[in-house]
Amino acid sequence: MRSIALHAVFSVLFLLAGARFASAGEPASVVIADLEFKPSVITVRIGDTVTWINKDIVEHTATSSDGAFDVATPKAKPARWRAQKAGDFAYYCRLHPNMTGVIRVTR
Amino acid sequence: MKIIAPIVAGFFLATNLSARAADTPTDPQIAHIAYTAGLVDIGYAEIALQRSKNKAVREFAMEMVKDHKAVNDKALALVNKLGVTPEDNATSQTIASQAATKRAELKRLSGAAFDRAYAENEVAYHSLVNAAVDTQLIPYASNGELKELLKVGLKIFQGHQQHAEHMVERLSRKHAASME
Ligand SMILES: [Cu+2]
Repeated sequence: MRSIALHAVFSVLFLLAGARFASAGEPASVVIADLEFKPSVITVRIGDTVTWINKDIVEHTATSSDGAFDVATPKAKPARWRAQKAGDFAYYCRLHPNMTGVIRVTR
Repeated sequence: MKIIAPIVAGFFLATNLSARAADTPTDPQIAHIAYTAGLVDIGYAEIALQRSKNKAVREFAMEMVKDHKAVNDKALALVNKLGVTPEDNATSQTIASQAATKRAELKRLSGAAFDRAYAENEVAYHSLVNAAVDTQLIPYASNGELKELLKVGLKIFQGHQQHAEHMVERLSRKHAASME
């Protein structure tokens, strides 16, 4: 009985850890390195702020395909965008369109 | 005819580059080739900044100056660290002389014709350089750090090629609209 309860607790913890959820207002970070957004898919909630940290030797942008955001991500200076509506936002770098990612915004 | 010219010039350069593949380049030569290729694109961008009034073209050219300078600075820092002196070679010379011809060609153009020629040359030039970096420079680079820098450089330049392709598409849509 006790082991089942423990198991349930661990399962929940595991799910929470794996889901990359941040509670509202908490930061979610995407690192840009070697022309990749890492992680390439990130899940946040409405109200969360996504921060891009560019570690490359060149500047990039995080530009959503549907025009929801167009954020310059200069070198060594974090750039931010606050998610305001739910949905999957595919984005790319305008300067290097071979770089792509997705921000999944949930309620 | 003006649209065909950069493609033919690009193909000619491609043929010359692949003819060099027989003798495998050394690290000092590879560094020289990569650096020269970067300088050439900066040279094209400087012409665009002098001649173009198109916002997208100018932004692209500014990006080329910044990105290629960043990669070249990194390459210089690396060769200094490794105590390697970049060595001039036939491939670098071919790239430089082809570029001189292309620069002269671009300088004869202005307005929308210049913008299209510049954009098309950026696609052709990056695709050529990318093929050379991918098949001739990266495989023959013996120093690990040089190889890594070339790999990151290749991703940056592949990004430039796609960006240039988008620019060509937009310019030709604009051209088609102005012809209606
Ligand atoms: Cu980029």
